[in-house]
Amino acid sequence: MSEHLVTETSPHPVEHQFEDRYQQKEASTLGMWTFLATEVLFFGALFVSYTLYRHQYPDAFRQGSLELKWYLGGINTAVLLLSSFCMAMAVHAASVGSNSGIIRYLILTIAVAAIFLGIKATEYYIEYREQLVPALNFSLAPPPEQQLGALTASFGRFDRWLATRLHAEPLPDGPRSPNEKLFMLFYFVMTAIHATHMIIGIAIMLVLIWMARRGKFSREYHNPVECFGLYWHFVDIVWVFLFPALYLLRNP
Amino acid sequence: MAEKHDHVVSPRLYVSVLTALMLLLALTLVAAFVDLDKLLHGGYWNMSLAIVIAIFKAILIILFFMHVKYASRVTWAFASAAFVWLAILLTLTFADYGTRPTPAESPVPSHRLTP
Amino acid sequence: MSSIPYIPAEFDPPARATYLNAGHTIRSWLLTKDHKRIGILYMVTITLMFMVAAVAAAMIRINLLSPAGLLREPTIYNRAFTLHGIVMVWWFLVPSIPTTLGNFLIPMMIGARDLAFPRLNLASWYLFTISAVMILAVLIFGGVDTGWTFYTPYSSLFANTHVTLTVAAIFVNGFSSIFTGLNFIVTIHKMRAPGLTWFRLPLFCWAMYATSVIFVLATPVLAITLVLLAVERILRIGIFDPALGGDPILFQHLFWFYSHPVVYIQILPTFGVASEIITNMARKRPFGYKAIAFSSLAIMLIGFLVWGHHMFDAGISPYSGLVFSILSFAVAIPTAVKIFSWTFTLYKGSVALETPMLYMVGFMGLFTIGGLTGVMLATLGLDVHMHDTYFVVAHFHYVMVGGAVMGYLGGVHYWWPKITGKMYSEFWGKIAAGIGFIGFNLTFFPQYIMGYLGMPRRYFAYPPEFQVYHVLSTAGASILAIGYFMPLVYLLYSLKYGRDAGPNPWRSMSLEWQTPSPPPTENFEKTPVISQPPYAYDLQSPMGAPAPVVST
Repeated sequence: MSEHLVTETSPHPVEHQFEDRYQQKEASTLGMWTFLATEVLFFGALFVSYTLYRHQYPDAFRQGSLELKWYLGGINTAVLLLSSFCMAMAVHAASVGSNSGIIRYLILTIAVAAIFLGIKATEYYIEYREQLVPALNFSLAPPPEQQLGALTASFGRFDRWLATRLHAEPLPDGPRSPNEKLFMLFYFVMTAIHATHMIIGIAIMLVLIWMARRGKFSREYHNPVECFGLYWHFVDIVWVFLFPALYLLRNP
Repeated sequence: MAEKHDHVVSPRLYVSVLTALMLLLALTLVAAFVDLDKLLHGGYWNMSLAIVIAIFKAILIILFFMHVKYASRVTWAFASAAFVWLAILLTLTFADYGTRPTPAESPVPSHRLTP
Repeated sequence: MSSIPYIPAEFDPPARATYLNAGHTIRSWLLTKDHKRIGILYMVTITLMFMVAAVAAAMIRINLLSPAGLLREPTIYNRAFTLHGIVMVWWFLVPSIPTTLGNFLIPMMIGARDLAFPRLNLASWYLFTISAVMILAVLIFGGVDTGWTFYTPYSSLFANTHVTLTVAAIFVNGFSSIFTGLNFIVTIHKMRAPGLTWFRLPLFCWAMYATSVIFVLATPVLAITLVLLAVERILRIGIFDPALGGDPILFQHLFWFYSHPVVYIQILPTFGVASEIITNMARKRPFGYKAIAFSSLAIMLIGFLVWGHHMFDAGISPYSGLVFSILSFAVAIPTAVKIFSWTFTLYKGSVALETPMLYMVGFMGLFTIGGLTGVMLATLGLDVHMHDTYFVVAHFHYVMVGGAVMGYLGGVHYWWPKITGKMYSEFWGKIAAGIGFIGFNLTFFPQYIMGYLGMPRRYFAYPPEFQVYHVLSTAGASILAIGYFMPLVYLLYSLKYGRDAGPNPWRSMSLEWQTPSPPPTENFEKTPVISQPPYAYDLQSPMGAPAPVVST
């Protein structure tokens, strides 16, 4: 009975409420899955609200979607999928007991996540210059090209060029529909909450790197890395749904 | 209660999954620019296709990156339960919005019209 | 001349180590990881919050003594009923049994040393207490007047009261709930002692499991709804504002998706307590163990499908109203299964009418009345007449006070000897239960009548023909207050002057009673191995030397 009470080589002991490291690991993983279930419902309610309004105002929401830079969103999706891959590799390194592997792949994940956030920040900046931010500067009349900064104007031109090359529908000229404000609100709220989850994830990864540097993880004990991996993949899944929902409403 | 839980997934599998995910992303983008609604005469085909592809991506991530394929039934049940509950929220809310009478079905009585 | 030899104090045997004397500093309490101490911390916090909400209730009842309203202004009345609802729901009823009895008992009932995540448990209490400070701040700054349901667009665009701080407090409180639910789910799945299969779990654990699933799946939707409400209020953009294209009914859908299941959070733990007390005090196995266990899960599941019955008059489509009405009837079925099972458990049992049992008998009767009026309200045609009247108020007070609060009090009395090692005065216990029962019915039964006759809820002033009912109701509330105050006195008194209870005064078969009272910090010296179900009460030996459930 007492053989499995003490772990063999793991530097991290089993907590007193658990019988052995297997029970501890299963409890941690199940706990993280339970937490992810709450997150599914947290984001899910936003998706439900968004979908309802999209059905109520199809034209306004389509217009709003055309304002977003789908290629930036697409690149970001690829970036986040790559970061998920790096995270999976970090968990793999943990499961074979390589603290240096964990550090390497976590640093990669953070770097890739930083790219995502950089692109997102650029998008936010462009949307700000185009006066699309509700409560800040949303205006029904799109600002004339002279008022846009160089970056925003060049993205606008690239947009129109791309639309002609792809024979796709360009952003229509003329005043915006008032209900576009609702679309932009959902866009900002949903992507901001998603970005907040990513920032928290990066902070946790820094802590995990610090722990790995002190050799805290081993084949027998790497629950924090594995559980965080689940969290990070979930954040990726949220974006996988956010991207088509927000950016690709081209044909309602 | 100990299970043989130290299953290690091979990195090659991760690379294959990543490739599949990128291909699905490309498919999403292509599909977004093909006007299926015009081809198939109305309906929500484009959005539905985009969501179906997204669901496939999510399933790949859940099964392989999140190891659900190699995990216990309890884990599988927890992972699905969340989406089932989301479906409850979606379905019953749409049951309301989807069955509201249209303005044509419930015209304003004439005595309530402002002169 | 004494025949008892005098032995100096230094020869006294060392006091047995219990969780209560394992550390006497405030730090040892505020930084504890022991689930039992955390349960007591919660008990202190929720008792204080109950008193705050009770004062608000007193203001309501005093105001309604006169048809013209006795409070100075209607806005004060609006804040009183809002605060009463908010504090009672989120700072008393939702946490009550789960965080006190649930925290204390679940590990002991399953043979574990603690919950799966003790530090998370402590974090839950801190979040809860921080949220309590926040809502008290709201109270000090002048309160909220939107009603506990925060309907938009009033709450988001027009109310001049502290809505944002209130929803922030509830948001924090929600995370406390989520973490507690998470902890319980993982604990019950993964930390059961060897031999403790699912169908050997005490029914209290089944009830707590179902409650925890609701915590985990419903609360996040409330969280995001409150975020959207705060965003609309702060940024003045119409998510729910019709003038800007928003939909107030969407708020109601999202709000009630959580707030209906929350009422099952409030009553399911009482169902668990009832299963424990009734089987013990009737000295019988539960009639239909599996039926009771599965009905907890059924109530949890169906409870998620009925939220629209709060919105029949709000403007939802009649077809969806029909669907929600039928589903609401359905949820009464597993509830009835429980009531029948307990009744058949009592039948031909050797029933002891101790104080906990009195509370349970009261609960069964009052909850049945409240539940049946719930079915009445679920009927579309009747609800159109009774929505937003005192009939609804009476209904939910019958199930929440006659049901959940009685369950909480009964449970606290039943497990008091285990938690404190002391026995309370049975005489005063019975008196208080009786006074509470009389006070409760006098308070809330007239409300059914006046509600049916048309008295609206949340009204500061009312037509004079309802005054007699309101006076009866306020008189009843004063008596009820006495019935609630008395346990506070005699339970606290027993801490110092009560007789030692011994390990198992109720001669229970359940695992938590097979330890000393109060238990040691680690609960069990060795992990028990379970070989039989927990309700092996044997009628052949009515004095009930319990057959051992534990072999080590």
